[in-house]
Order: sequence, then structure tokens, then C-alpha cells
Amino acid sequence: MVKVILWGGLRAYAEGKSEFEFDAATIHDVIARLGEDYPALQWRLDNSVSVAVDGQIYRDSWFEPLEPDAEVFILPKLAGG
Amino acid sequence: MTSVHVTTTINGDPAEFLCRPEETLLDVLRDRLGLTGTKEGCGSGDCGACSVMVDGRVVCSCLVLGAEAEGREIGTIEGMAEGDELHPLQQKFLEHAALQCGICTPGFLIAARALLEKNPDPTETEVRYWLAGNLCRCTGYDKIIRAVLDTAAEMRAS
Amino acid sequence: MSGIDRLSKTSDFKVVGTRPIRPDGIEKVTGRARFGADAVAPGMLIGLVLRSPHPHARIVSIDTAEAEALQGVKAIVTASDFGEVSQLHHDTLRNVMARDKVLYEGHALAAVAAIDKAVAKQALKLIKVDYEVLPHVTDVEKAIEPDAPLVNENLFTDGIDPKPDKPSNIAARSQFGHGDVEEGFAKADLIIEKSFKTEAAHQGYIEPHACLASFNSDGSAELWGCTQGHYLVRDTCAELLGIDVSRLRVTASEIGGGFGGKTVVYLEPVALALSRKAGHPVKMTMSRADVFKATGPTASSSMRVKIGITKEGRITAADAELYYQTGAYAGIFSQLGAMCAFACYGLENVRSVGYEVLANRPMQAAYRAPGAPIIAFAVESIVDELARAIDMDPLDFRLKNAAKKGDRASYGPVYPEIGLVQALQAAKEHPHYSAPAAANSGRGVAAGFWFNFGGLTCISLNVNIDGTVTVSSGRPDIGGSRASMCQIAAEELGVPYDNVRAIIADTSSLGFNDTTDGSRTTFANGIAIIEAARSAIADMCARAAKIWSIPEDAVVWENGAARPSGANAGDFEPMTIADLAGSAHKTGGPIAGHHEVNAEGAGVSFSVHIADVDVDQETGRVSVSRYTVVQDAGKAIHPDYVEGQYQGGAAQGIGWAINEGYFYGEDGKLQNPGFLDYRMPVASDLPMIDAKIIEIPNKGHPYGVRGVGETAIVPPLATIGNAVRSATGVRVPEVPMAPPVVLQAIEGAKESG
Repeated sequence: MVKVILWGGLRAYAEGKSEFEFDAATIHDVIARLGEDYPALQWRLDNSVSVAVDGQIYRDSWFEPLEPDAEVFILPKLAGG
Repeated sequence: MTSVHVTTTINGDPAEFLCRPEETLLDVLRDRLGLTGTKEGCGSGDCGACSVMVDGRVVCSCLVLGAEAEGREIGTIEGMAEGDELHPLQQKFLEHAALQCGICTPGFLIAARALLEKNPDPTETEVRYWLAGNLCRCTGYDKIIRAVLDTAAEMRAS
Repeated sequence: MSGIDRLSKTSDFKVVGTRPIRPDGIEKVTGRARFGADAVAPGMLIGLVLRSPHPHARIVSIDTAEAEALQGVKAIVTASDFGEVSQLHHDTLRNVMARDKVLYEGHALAAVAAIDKAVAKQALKLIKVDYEVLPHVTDVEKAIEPDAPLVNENLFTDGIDPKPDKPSNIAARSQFGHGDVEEGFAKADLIIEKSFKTEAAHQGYIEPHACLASFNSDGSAELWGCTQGHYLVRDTCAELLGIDVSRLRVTASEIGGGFGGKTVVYLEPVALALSRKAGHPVKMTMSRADVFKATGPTASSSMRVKIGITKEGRITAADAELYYQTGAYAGIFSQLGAMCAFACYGLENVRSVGYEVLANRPMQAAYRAPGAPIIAFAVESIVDELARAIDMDPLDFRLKNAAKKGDRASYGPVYPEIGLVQALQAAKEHPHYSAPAAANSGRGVAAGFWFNFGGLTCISLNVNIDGTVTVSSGRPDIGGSRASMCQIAAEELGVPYDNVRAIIADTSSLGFNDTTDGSRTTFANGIAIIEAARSAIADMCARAAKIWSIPEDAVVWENGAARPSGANAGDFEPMTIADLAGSAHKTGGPIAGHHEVNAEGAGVSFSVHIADVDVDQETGRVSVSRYTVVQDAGKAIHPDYVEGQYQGGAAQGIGWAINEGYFYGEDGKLQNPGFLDYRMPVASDLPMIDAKIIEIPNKGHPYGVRGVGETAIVPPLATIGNAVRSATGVRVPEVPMAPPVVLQAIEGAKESG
């Protein structure tokens, strides 16, 4: 089971929850499962997040595989200059 | 529209052009003569990107009228190398990585050459103050100053 | 633990790590390189923009009839020449050309294309605009007051639950952190809390925005211009102009500085619209005053930071609240600031809250590690005060609390292997740190963090008939990256550096590439070049194998040639890259490698700075006498250009710390839109800047590369502030620490004894 944590700004769209545990093989699985359980999250998951897996930040990359005990942290979308 | 007819010398060659009375030398060089090596960074004489030589003096060409070039000798970056031989400053700028984006580089080269012609053995402080009229936003000046000092040393040795 | 591991080489480099001359340097030192304003086209017109003289006004009407009738005017555009766009580009469209309201002095609302600049200028004067002037607000603290004039009457703060029922200028609230800060503060022996204010700084690139647009009557178009991201320009302009992406071909000129400020469009859609309407190419350049008034600077800010420690110097809780003034349209930089606030520290109890505040000022744009330098000023100043209060060396204090692998970052995830401790130790060991400070001078240190990114990358690597190599890439070279790209290709192929050339392809010649920003060019391009080279190598080995009639796995590539892997494979003379290229037409056709990737695996980076300053107690003038940057580059492909990034970022930070700022009058107009009064550092303001590169390989890159372009601008504001504190005994909680500000702080301290 992977552990999924949402950054504070997304909690309102997940009925106030911020931590989840479920089976997921890729980042895409995580996004699909969250979007299914909380439709209000979907647009943001598709457009305005980056994902950190065990501390390594991914800006997109749906098919990045996850270790069974990975921690997936959903952050706001990051940008540089 | 009344144009002024100007006869001048640019990089050692005769040149003539028509320009409006209010056009700057910078506008003339870039837009009428196609010499785009000289850059406009501010149009108000504060950044030095438009530095050229007029009768042996470094000036901001955005502060000189095109009409004022009449009968004078203008030197731009395009005339700095001799054929395919770079001026030692140009070579040292490359070796010292004294440029990143390169927009300020023509202005710095013109100004630095004028310094070394006037003072072949400047101190670091003298170089910094001479070049204080040329803005660079990329390098923090460190490698530019080193390139100028290194060129001065090499030119003195030869 | 998951994580990308591409690391394949960390030593024994032949070309990588050396300092060759950049391949594009000759053009730049001879004035031949062509920048945004250096292109011309037959029959081209000159375009100029009409900008609002008011900081806030409703546009009642725009009458262009008289201007259109002026001889020599070929087209005029306003917002009505642009259709509506998707939500993603909603604000961009309105910033490019105002509709209904102008939101800052300098906001574009019309543009003219004419046969020359003089006619265009005259035409601008003939455009009649009827404004209903509205109250304005420019200061961040005033903008959040309940009765502040509203920039957008329909804006309700995002990120607050329940959603507020009254509109305000606060576009968004974001919060990060973990643990319980109240509990943490209860455990502290000492707590310091302070407020700080910073003014906006502009990226200050010496080249103003410029472009040349050419629209054809069949709906296809070409655009030349200086940008950090020509693919972004293409896609944005295609949407704004309502045309297919494939019909617009954008060529990136050489670019005279960007630093984040040229990752957005300003003139480009306008030039295209004018060209379409006029039926001629249109060239547009921005004046320096317009660059300051109407292109994105950073945010200005008001911040409050509170940190508690045990008497042994361990941080028990850290709390930050930051209000970033973001201009007329919201961005994400207060969010980034809140995320970065305490990123240097391993903390159990931490909270940071960011507010994105609108004001009647130009829309902010990214500026090198956007959001991070501002909050770092506040946090690192308090860290400095805390270390002083317990008489602890400031670097030791930071080492005691430094974030390490396994610590939960204040922005959320747990840190993998990072290099902050090594950077702090390297700073401690640097001769600058132990050199005696000159009399009456002060020394300060500070640390900074930035994310770094990878991104969408396409590379095409072609082996020419004589065995030389051309690398085709898609990220504009803003600082010398073409040299690094050639070095990487040469290293991988085993050929001399001089045999490789790199170009920046236009948008029609290569697939999509993300912008040159986020410290990602050498990192992401590097990954793709290495993969493309390996692909070409595999192809060349396969061809040699066929020529020799031996199995493919019996051929190896060494020093730029294919050779049998051992005596058993056969006794064949090696075939060099030139041999294979010369016979390529007979063995299968042109030899090339290409690679398309979303390059992830960028590592975060940390920078530690040391500054010595002198403060003139009569004028308040701060001069920097010595400056050192210590930063991890993972692997420095070309050390000269890595040093250049450290020095350049530091210089920008020093300018921002001491003299750069936006000054607005009561009338809401920018008082200093020029280089004379927007005072950037000149050569006589700065000492040599010592750039110390440390290399802790980033596993996400085959050679260990870590982005370096941005992090160096994060520590300087606080480094200078801490040095001023050391020199004067006075904490200046404001940026810029301009002479009047410093003087006032010194005199204020004298008065209160």
C-alpha cells in the first residue's frame, strides 16, 4: 500500500482529508483513484500539481512506477525562473 | 519630413546616409546602416550597451545625434577585429568566459579597448571605475575584469 | 525507496569538467550574433503599444478613427481583435491587451503598426481613450485592508474554507508544514519574532523585449524574438491568435538576459495580430521605461517570521506568514515562497502561510528561484539573531539544524540524499570564513534552497558525412549552455569537443521543449543528448558488426570508434566515426540519434554565502568588500559557466539587497522606470566573487548534474542583511537596504540607546 498525502490547499476538495493509503502501481493510479473518490479534486490533479515520490519531485510522469511502501506527496505545481 | 545628409567615416571606411534631425547615432547605425552589433539597452545613456568611438572617445551612441557624425570617425564593434584576427580583448573575453548572454559584450569591448589605449597598466579598481558605465546583468563583472586585466598584461608583454 | 537512478559516470571525464571556449562565442564578441531587435524583413512596419497612464481605470471607449486615417498607419489593434481563450491563458490575454479595465500604469490597451517609428508615435497620440479613473492601491499592506480598492471585484480568496463572501485583493492562501507549532514554541527557551518588508526587484535584463512577426495571407505565420521559451511562445500565441499550433513557426533569437522575465509573452501576440491585420511583417521593441512599468518584476512583500530554539540551539518551532504583492494578476509565487521558507531546516514543528495579493502594479513574473529569496531574507535574518543570542557560530547553528536525508521538508515530502550539510561545511572551511574581518566591517552568512526542475525535452543528434556532429536542441541558450551540450556529446561519443556543434532549432524543426528556466537546461538537455548519443553509437556499432560479419554484441565503442570487443571477435581495424559516417549511405542511411523525454530526477540544491560589508555611518551606504558563494552543482560540466551562474545570481541578489526597488508615488505611478534610478550593481560596486563549486552527484542524471542557475540568488538578501547587522549592530528588516533606510535604522538604534 502506498501512503498518499495531499498538501493543505487540496484538503477542501477531499472532504477535509489529507492522508490516504491504498494500492497503486504508478502515479497515474494514485491520481485516478483520488479523482474517482473525490471528483472535486480532478481538475486540480490534472492541471495544478506536482508529485513527490519518497522525496523525489516529478512534475508530470503518470507512469512512474511506485515501490509498494512509497510515500506520495501531492504538491502544488512548481515553476522556476 | 526634412532629412539631413551626413558624410562620415565608420570603422575606417567612408559612409554616407540620410537621417531625420532627431535620430540618434544608435538608430542610424542599427536601422539605416545595418550595423546591429551596437545594442540599445535603455536609450538614455545609462547602460553603455550602445558604446561606440567618436573621434577617439567612448560615447553612448544613444546620446549622440546621427547628424553629429558629420565629418567624424566612428568606431563600432564590427571594426574591432582585423579581418579574421580578433583583438586580444575579444580573445580574452572568450577564454575567461567573460560573457554569458553577450548583449553587453560589444559595449564592454569598445569601452575596455579605449581604457587600454589610454592606460596600458590599470589597476583592478581603475578597470572597475572605467567600466562602471557598462551594465552587465549576467556575470557579476568578475570574469570581465579578469579578462581585461589579463589582456592588459599580455599586451604590455608583447 | 523509489527514485530515478541514471548515474553512470562520476570520474575519468575527458571533456566534461574542462573549460573550452564556447562554440557561439565568436559571434558574440564580434557583434554578429543576432538578438531580438536585430532582424529585419522586407516591407516591415514598426509597431508601438499604447499604454495606460493611469494605475487603475475603466476603459469607457477607445476611438482609433483619427489614428487610422493618418498616412502611413497600416493597422491598429485593441482587445476586440483577440477572441476569448481558455482559462489557462485568461490572464495572459488580458495582460497582453487590456479589455474593460486597465489595471496598472503601463497596461497595454492598443497597438499601432506604421511605416516608421515617427508615424507610429504620432498615431498613438491620435488614439482617443476615455478613461473612468478608479482608486488604486500599490502597497501590499494597504491592499489587504478591508476597504482597499479592489483590483478584481469578482475575486474571492482561494484556499480558505469556507470561501469568503466578500471579494478582496487576496487571490489565494496556501499553507504548508507539519507538527504543532504552538507545542513547539511552548518547548522553546528563546523565541524571536520579527516583521520584514521587501520591495519588488526587476530581472533587469539589458535587452528589452523585441520581436518580428510575419503573418501570411494563408493563415501561417513566423515569429522571431528573444524569449526563454519559443515553444511556449508558439503555443500561447497560437491560442491567442486562434490559429493551429503547426501554422506558427517561432525562431528564438539570441537572448540578452531573461532570468525568468522572458518566460511570458508581451509583444509577441500583439505583433502577430498587427501583422495579420496589416498584411506586412511588424517589428516591435519595448522601451526601457515600458520594460520597467509593464513587464513582471518580483513580488513586493510583508512578512512575519517566528522561530523558537532550545538554549542549546535546536529549533523547536518555526512559523512564517508572508504576503506577496503579485501585481494585477495572481501567480503562484507566494505559494512557492511558503514552500521554500524553512526548507533548509529539519524541523518537527513548522508552519508557513502564504497570501497572494493583487495590486495595481505590473503582473509579476518569475525571477530566478521565484518567491524564495524574499522569504529567505526573513528566515535567515532571524536565524542569525538566534545564533547571536546564544553566542553560537552562525554556520554551526545552521549545521545543528540543517535538513538531511530522512527529514520531512517543510513543504511536505521526506528529503532524499541532499547536499546542505556539505555546503555548510565547505563554507566553514573556506578561507573567507576564517579570514580576519577588516576593521569596521561586518561579516554575514546565509543559506538558501531551490527546487530545480527537468522537463519536456527533445534532442536530435546528427553525425555528418565527415564524422563531425551537430546537436539540435530546443532550449534557448541564455548563459552558455551550448558549450556544455557539445561537451556532453563529445564525452559520450569519444570525439574531440571541436568536432561538435550545437544549435537551437526553431519550433518547426524539433519537438516540444519546455522553457529555459527552472535551472534545467544542462540537466534535461544533458540526459537527452546522452541518450541520443548512445542510440547513435548503438547504430554505428551495428553497422560495423555487419561490415565485419560479427555479432552486434561483439562490437564496442571506444574513443570515437567501433572496435571488436576482444581477440575472439576478430582482427579488424577500428572504424572511426568518420569512417562510419562516410559509408553511411551504403550501410543504412544517415546516422543519427534522437531522444524525447520528460526529464524528471532533478535534485534540489542549496547555496551558502559569506559576505563582508562596510557601512558608512554618515551616509548609510553599504559596500561589499568580499563575497563567496558555495554551492553544489552535482557535476560541473563547464566550471567557468557554473561559476558564472553563481557570480551572476549573487550579484543580482546583492543589487536587490542594497539598492534595487520599485518606488511608487501616491499617484500610483512608478517613479524610477530607468537604469539611473533603478540602481543595479555596476563594476565598481562589487568585488571579485569567489565561486566554490562542490560536487555531490545527483543520481537522477547520468553524470550527476544538478541545476545551478537559480539557487545563488536565494541567500544574498539575508547574507548582506546579516553582514550589515554585524557591521553596525543594527538589524535592517527592509529590502532594499538603501542608504536612507540604513541610516534611519542606525539613528533609530542610537536614539533608543
